[in-house]
Amino acid sequence: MKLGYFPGCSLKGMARAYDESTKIVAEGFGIELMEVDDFNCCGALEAKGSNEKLSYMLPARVMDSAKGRFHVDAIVTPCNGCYHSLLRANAAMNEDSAAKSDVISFLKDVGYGTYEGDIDVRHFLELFYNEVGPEKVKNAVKKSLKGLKVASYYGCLYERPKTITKTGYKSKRDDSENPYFQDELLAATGAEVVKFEAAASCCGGAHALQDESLAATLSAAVLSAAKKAGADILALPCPLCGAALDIKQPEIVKAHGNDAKIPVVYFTQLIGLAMGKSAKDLKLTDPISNPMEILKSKGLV
Amino acid sequence: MKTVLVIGGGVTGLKASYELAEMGYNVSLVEKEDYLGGQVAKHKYYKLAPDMRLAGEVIDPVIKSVENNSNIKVYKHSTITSLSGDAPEFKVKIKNSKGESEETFGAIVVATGFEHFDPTVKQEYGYSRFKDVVTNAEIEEMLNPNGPTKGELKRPSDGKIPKKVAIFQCVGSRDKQVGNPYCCRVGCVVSTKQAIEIKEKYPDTEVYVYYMDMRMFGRGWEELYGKAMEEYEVIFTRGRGAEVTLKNQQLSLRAEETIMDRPIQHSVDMIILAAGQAPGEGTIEAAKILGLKQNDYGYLAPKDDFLSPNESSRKGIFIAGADKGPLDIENCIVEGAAVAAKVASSLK
Amino acid sequence: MAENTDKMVIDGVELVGIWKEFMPSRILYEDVTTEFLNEVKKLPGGETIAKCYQCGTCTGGCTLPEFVNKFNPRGFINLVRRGHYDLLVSDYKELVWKCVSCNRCTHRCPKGVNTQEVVRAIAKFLEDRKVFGKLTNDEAFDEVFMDEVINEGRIDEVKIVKDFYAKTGRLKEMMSGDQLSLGFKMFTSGRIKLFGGKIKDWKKVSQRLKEELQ
Repeated sequence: MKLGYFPGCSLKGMARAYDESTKIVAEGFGIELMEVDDFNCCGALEAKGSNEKLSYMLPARVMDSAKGRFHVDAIVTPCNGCYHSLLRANAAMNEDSAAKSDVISFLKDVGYGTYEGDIDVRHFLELFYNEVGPEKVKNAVKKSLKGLKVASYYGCLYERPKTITKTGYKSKRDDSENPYFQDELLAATGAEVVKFEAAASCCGGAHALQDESLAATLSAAVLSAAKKAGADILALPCPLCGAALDIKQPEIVKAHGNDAKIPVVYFTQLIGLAMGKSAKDLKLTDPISNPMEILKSKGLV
Repeated sequence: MKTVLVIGGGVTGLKASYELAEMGYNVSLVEKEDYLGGQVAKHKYYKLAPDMRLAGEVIDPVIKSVENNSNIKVYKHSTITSLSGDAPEFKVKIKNSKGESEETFGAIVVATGFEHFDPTVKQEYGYSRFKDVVTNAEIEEMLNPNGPTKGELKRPSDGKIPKKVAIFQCVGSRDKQVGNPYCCRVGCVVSTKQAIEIKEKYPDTEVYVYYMDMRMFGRGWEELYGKAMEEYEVIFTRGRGAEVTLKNQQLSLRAEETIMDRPIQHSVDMIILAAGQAPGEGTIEAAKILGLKQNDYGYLAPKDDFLSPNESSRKGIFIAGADKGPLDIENCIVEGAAVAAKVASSLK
Repeated sequence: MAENTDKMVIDGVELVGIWKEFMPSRILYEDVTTEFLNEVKKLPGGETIAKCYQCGTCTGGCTLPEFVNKFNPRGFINLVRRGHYDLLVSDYKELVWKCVSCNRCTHRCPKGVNTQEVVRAIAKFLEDRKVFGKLTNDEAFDEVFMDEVINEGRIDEVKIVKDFYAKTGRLKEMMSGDQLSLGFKMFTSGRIKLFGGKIKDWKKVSQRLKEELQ
């Protein structure tokens, strides 16, 4: 299977730690990722509120490039937001013939014009679980994360809405109400995954700028639930949740107190750590919420 | 050719077989299970709405009338595997543990019925995750004195009698996402009946029903609904169940109380999912082997819903009961009799 | 207003108030119309609004009511459908746009309503009718974001934040000590780049996208 890798804008900016740790983990387990290096923004949640056609054209251009230039069978993204946009464009192209012909004529004008809504869209977490899986992760552990209590957080658009993710219908996808892929992968590193009620709750990140106090309240609910569950650290598979829960954490703590103070990392950083990769390569010093302190105290870095 | 094949030994098939036999036809009744009575027997239905009559009082005489009839040959644990020929000379292969044999029939009645919807796919209700989330069919078995709990309503997790029970309506019915946008036609009355049964046996247990519309169109159903509210204090809330979670080791539900315009959340000891009807495996299989037209949801499509309701898309093959769409027991029996009359007139 | 003023004595305490101010009439005097339903239907994301059968699955599982009093997707749809425009504006305009797009509603809707997008469309419907009296934060952000996407192809997070604050007249806040020290940490660690990656031939795409918007 030839895989196109679509990192999305965030992973080339503030969430570069996710980009680099994803590549390290993929390489370590023999997953070959061909980066679609001329990608554009997927349009996120903003395009779909602004212009219906644009909200399909933007992600379709990325998939057109993956198919026309790289001839891939599937496209994988580590970002919940991009995942949503790509799946949503595919659903429209497959269910709405008018949308499909609009998109195809756009792609013929500006791109390769080869894309017809027919590339399989994968989330890196789902792909990693299905193609590698907890068993292989367990066997590859060089430095066990034993003693580290992790809250495994998924965010919203990884499993929702099932109208486009088809969770609960296709066996390869995660459970749509109680996702567990990341839990099992993290448990395979030796870490203790704590039971955590807010695992699939919303971090409010979509309104991080538009409605800061509401976003902070929602983020605080997630962070403090993780802390209350006894976690040392929170791991996640989404750069937008990362921005809301990590970069915004100083503001959240200011408004909601130290109950909401907990280090936040990408799940790929912890898996990389268990593989014996260095904290520097994994960019574990990047998060504002300072995971290094707890990792040091547990003797993991 | 005066021999008729009836596929399916549920109420519809039994009634059709009996009526045909009484009219002098030879009937071969093929049933895939090793018992007769269909879903009624499979899930040990206890009482029937609206009269609270024991299901056995209805199903047992129907079964006996078939088993005691010399014109009916019953093949249990058997399935049909192929069809060749056309009306009025169908050649059908019947398979069972004794092997496969071919028989010739003048007409075929398909009465393969429904199966209860499997709510596992509604992951927000946690059916496979939480032991105390059960289906309405499982409640029938529990309330039946011959069932696994000998008639006691017991929480699967600890065997205790629940103090607070919630019933979620329309699970797998009126639901586009699972591909069943139709109404199951029986969920409302069955839940109302079960709520009354629970209250009668355990007056201290509270029962809350979450519904979108209570569709009480059958004989005596509306009266039963009134009785549940007036005499048994069953609380009906207009709002579809949204999710089931575990809060402090206790089942907790969320829904919108649409009349109050706000979401509500409360803890319960047990949740009953009023799982609707889906076309049975036997129905899908029969359609394939016999080459019958199905509707969008997999049920068998009549030649003309108004004018030829019991004729299939294929001449000489007749359909009846819950394989055409969701139906209650009372009307399945009517269907059984109706299809028998149609078969008889076609073979004349 | 004189006829609204009333006196009441409870337990010897005299209360004076304009009762009708906080006890609105229980009868809705409203001209019902499907005019607004048709308008929302035509907005991006609004097409599925008419599918709703008011079961409350969306509101029942919604993230927000716990934090935002009276937030109710089913209720918003109902108001639009029945043409209760005045009520929507007077009581709910500050709520509709609060949706955080968690998509639990769309995920579970048994009727196939794309609830999250419908709620966004209702907010847009109000924005288009200028009921807020100014550019809302959502509108400002969408504009800034889409400008950046269409012109550059990719998003530069810092530029978006800066443009958003500028557009909403809050540039000063961005220059606060906390924000600056955060920015400094991001910059020195290399997470903020002054020159983002450029996409080859984006100009052509940009031109085509702009035509689409005409």
